[in-house]
Amino acid sequence: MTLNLASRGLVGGMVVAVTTAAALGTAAAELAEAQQKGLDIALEARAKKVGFENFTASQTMVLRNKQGRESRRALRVKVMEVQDDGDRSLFVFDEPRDVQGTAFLIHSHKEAADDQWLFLPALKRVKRISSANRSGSFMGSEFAYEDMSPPEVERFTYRYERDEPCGALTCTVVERVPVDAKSGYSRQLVWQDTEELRLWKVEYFDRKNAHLKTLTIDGYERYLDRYWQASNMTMVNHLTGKSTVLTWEDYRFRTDLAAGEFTQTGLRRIR
Amino acid sequence: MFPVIAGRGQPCAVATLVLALASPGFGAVPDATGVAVFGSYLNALNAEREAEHLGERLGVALAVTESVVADGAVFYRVVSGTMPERGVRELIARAAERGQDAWFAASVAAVPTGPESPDPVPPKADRATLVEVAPVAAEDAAIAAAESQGRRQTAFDVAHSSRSNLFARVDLTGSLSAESRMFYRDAGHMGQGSHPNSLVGRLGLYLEHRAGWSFTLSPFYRYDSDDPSRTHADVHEAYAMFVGDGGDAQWELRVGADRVFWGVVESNNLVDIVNQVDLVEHPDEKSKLGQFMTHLTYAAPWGVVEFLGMPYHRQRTFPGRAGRLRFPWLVDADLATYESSAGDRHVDLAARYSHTVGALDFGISAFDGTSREPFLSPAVRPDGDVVLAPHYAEISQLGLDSQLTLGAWLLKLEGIHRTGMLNRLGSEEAYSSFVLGGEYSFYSAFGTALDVTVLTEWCYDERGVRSTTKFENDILLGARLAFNDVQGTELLVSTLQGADHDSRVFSVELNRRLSDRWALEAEVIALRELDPTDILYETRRDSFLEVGLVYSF
Repeated sequence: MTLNLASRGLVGGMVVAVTTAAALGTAAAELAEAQQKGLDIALEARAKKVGFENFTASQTMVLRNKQGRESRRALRVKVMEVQDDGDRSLFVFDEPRDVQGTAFLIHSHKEAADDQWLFLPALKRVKRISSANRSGSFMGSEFAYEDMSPPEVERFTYRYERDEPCGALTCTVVERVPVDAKSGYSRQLVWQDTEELRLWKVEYFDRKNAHLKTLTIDGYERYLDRYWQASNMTMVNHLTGKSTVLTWEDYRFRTDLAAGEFTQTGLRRIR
Repeated sequence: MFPVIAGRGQPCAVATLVLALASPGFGAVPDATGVAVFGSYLNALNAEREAEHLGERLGVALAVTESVVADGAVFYRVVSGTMPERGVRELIARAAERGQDAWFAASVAAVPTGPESPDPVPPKADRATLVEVAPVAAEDAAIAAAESQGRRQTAFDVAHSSRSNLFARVDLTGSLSAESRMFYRDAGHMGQGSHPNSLVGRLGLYLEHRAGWSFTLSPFYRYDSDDPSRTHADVHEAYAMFVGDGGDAQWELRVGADRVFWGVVESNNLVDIVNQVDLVEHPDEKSKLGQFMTHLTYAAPWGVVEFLGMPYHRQRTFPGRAGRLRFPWLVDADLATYESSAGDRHVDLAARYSHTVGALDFGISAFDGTSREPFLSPAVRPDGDVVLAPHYAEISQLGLDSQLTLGAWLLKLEGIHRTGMLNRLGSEEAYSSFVLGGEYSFYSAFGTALDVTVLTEWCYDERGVRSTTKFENDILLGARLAFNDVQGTELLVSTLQGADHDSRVFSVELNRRLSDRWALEAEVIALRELDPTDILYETRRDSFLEVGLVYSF
């Protein structure tokens, strides 16, 4: 990939530069600039998300196979912002009914591995589970665990690619490469609009660099006058033909959630 | 930064509202004065934050008032100062230009109006009560207010989720299952059947009161076609729960019947001592009966402390004459004896401290009271039958459970030290026992969606042949396969092998969802080469296959 970029830079450099050495120098500078711009965009997008404190929402997932057969998932989500660390998230399953009441607690961290616990209502057991499963499917859907957790800036390296129109808006296209070797992706291409840095599209490339999945996002609404939240997220798997439509509803910001709800004791109380 | 005035505890304000609602035609007051309402919150703090934030953006002073809607719910509203309707409409228009929804609410006539200045001032507490012009009903207005903030009815939304006056949330869930067990070898003991069918019903009722406390009721019933002793009902949960917040700590009190799980390993949860084993349910001893208790939990940043008081002992269930997986002699609960002079009314006490430090989760527990595990000794019933009489000793137990989570590795340890228990020879013996185990997961194995977890556990009881459990010195080897498909298919294969003798227990469990409401469960337990000294020897002909169909609602 670096080679690919260098050669692209070389072509650009040839136009203005006389010697190969100078061209390579220009390529390196261009790469550094593209990386910095990519990181800047990620940081700015993060800055836009800071300060929400907490929110609750309902999620519905419709899983569709190649033949069009559908299966539904319903979850309640609570997210709490943590100063200087990753968010804390709580997922409570309502459907399918056989897993009703199962809850999943994530303490995400900016750089260290996440801490995850599962509550199994039949045994009333809280289980600490491994967070090493980054690439596995979340509830049989086309979303992997790593797609469900918030993309912390520190978990990727970035490179700005280009600007291009997306609908009525202009989008930046940034390539991000997961730092975690356990990620199922070699890279992702991310479309964000230049105005509010909302995410509109992500293309996921697997470890063999094949275009595995595409996520498209729409139905943005603004909450507390600042925070843009999407209503629909559609993940299509190009290799299997399966898709999952994730619908967000009932967003509520700055609710009276207590930090104690995002603990193992809180997990035991989930209904 | 603003003098935030919430009309907390203002009975007159509430009375004014009620009066206003009762008088007809209040909604059509001409040339009314009123306020602009920018949103309603259940939490005063959120309302204050929003008042400050919006106030800065619109360049006006906003305040928070307390508002009581018809069914007693309290909202904190972000409002402008009181002024003539025209002024309010202008402010609403200004807000709309900045993308902020707001609506007009007229003041009650009896309430004095604010000064008619272009710069609105925050209303005083005695002016806090508002009557909505539109929408008509106060509750609808509250919901509309919530919606204007991008909020709608949710299960989390305490005030909205139910029309009930008392309860903020009422949930009823449950399941019905039909199970069939096939014992494929002839019975080893008199009277035993070979093909019992069962119907199992579970209900879960959850009531959350507006004041924050909740009540949970979970009854259970099993009908077994062969064994009347396996046909039984139980109340797994019937408790009231109160939760309180104290800064960065929280306390929780549960009073009533409940089930409490402690432990980390998969084979034998030594430290899990709160609830009695419902042995007729399953020979794996993991099904538990509800236990009456008072359970206080205090969760602080330095860890979680729990105290339990259990005033009533429950006897272990045992299969009846027609049931499999039993001794040649029946256990007669009527002949139960207790070491404590209080019998089954001895108050048992338990405590636990648990904490998470990075990758380590650990718990230290203590129990003092009547043993859940009985000592069984032969007795002769008045009718001449020889049976087993359970004896429940007074014991003390210290326990440790810990798990280290390192990447795809889980390393687990459970250990206890118990005094007061009778050993297999019938004499009192203090002993230690532990389970040491490890799990490793291969995620997305073989380039597919399959997750393969391999696990092994070593169960050791220092009493050896004098041990009263089947885990005296055994090794569990197992593999869990999660297919990560839409049906959530999972397969668990394991074998428990005696480390110093030949006994082996094979187990296969399969779970697969058939639809959003139906699921299939299948299980095989095969008992092989049981040694005559093994506690399971008398069940050596009781290998079985069970298939179950579960409907959940």
